[in-house]
Amino acid sequence: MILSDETILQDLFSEDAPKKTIFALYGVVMLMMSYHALIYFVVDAEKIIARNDVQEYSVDFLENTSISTESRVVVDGESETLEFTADENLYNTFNGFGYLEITVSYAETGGALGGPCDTVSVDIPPTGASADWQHPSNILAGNSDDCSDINLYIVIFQEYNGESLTIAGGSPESIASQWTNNEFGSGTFSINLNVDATSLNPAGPLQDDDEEITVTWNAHFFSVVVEEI
Amino acid sequence: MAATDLGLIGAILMIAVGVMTLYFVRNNKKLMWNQRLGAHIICWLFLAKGIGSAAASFLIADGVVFASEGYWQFTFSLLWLMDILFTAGMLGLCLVFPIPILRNKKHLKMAFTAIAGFTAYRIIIFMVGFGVTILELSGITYLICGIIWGTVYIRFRLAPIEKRNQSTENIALAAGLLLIFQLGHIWFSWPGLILRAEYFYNLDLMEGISHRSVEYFWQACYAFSIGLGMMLCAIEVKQLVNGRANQFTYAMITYFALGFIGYTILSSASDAFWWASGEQTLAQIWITLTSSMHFTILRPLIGMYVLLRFGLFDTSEEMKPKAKMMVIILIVIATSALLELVQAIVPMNEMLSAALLGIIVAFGIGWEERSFDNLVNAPSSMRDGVEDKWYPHIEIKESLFKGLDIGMALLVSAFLLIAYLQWQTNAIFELAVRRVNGEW
Repeated sequence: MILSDETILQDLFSEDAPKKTIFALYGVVMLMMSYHALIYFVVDAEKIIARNDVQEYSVDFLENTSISTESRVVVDGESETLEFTADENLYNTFNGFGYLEITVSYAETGGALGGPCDTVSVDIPPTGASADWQHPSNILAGNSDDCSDINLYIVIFQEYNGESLTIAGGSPESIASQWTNNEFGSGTFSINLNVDATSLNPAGPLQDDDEEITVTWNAHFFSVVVEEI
Repeated sequence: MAATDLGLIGAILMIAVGVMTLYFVRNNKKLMWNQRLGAHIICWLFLAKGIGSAAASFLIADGVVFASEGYWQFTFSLLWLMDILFTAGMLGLCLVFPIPILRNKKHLKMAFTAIAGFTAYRIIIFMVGFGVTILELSGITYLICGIIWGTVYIRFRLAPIEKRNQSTENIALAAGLLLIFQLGHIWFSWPGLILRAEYFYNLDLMEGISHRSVEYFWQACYAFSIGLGMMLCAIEVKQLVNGRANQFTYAMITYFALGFIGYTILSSASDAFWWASGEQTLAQIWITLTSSMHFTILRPLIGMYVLLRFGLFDTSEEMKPKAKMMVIILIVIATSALLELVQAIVPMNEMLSAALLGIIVAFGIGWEERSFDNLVNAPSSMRDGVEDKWYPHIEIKESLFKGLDIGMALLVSAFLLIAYLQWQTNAIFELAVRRVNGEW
């Protein structure tokens, strides 16, 4: 067996090799790479650079609050349930249902004048409607024994907090679509009301054995506005 | 069929080809050193690309969302690392097969040390947070393999008439097929390069995280590959006119013709990258049927053809039934995948599709029965009648081949571990953030 001491290049480009065609190949590939560089850096440079620039967008939310109020007299020691369903027309008008604020208010209305406030406790079961029930900002229960309001809070649209955002990349349409969903908030929310009435004189004629509680549902819907920065 | 489904089928096909061919190649100890080394490398190319394709499919299924947590970091890392292994394999393969560019043991040691060094460099670059940057030189394999196989192809295809024989034709054919294997998907986009189409110049390598420098270099390598393909296509057209057409001739003309037709479909598309395949627009269907098909189905078939056609398998009488069984399995997977692909584009009744699947699989097996013997019995020699200078003898110990397989298996295992660690440490997310913020 002959061991070649020549290099592979000497063999590839030996006298009998189709050198013209091989060098034509190298010429064509160089030509193509040069042509590509010309298009990339000169002819279409602006278009290509513009495509690589990442457009930034500001995302703002315009809120609209729909308020609904309902009162109920709750007997001492018993529980009442109130329900709330958002108006369907709101879903068509706005991009989404952001969050729901519930204010539970009452005053001392029974028993002796100047008697102590009753103890009111409320809770919202995380069922019946679509919301971000696990969100850490949610306040789903509360109580009051000094006639102060009880404020509850439920995040409805996932990740929504009403604050403006800046987003890089994408298109206004795709960003708006991320913030458009009429599923969030659909269904019926309910709140359980409990009263522990307190009388000055439990044995007297002016016994306090119930309380009127007012629940205000503040449904915060939003419209999304996406603009190039 | 979604891109992920097709990708998964391709991954299964490649892993199956890799495992089965490795079994046959390991048993074939009669080959010349360069053929044996080449055969081992081809098997590991399949395995690396198969695992990488599976990772890519899961990554695409996740929507390529660069979130701060998530499994996607594992699949991304694995895809990248397997591509590094694939690149190393292609570099090694072009140096030894179909003819060895390396002339003695010293050359062999130097070349494979350089490849190992380059591979280690790319792995380190990726692990220390410089992945998806120009430092990786992604695409360099196209240049090196293209130059070597392109030169070898012309040198033997157009050898002087008095020196032409079946062996020189086989060497040229093997080099040509390996060029299709590596560059075929690029050749579909040749009119896009020349006619400044958006679908070529808007190549987004890694969903917005690759820097412009990376994309330029990648595209430049594509331009190189297209120039090479055009030259070879012109040579083959001339050979066709001269009555010297072979399998490579028809393949080249088909790839370039499809590329031309594709321009009319893709010229209005903004992107034609292979992983945009799978949807139902005409442009995306076209990508599925061309570049995605090349990656997932044609590559394993071309690789298997090379192994069988040039006798890299042990197809002795004892092994032939097993080899036949392997080919049947692959044909069944490929033909059923093909039908699934058609069914996704042309929705049809389940009964009809089941019947068609039976017919196509039977056709596939029938084709295999008719052609298997022809294939393995075809003149496969690359040595007879070729000057000895082209095949220098290098003594390679048997243990080196065993060591190569064990080393590759360990490397794949190490890559799985690295990918897992990068996922757990959020390394890929941090890398993506740096790239998105414009750091190269």
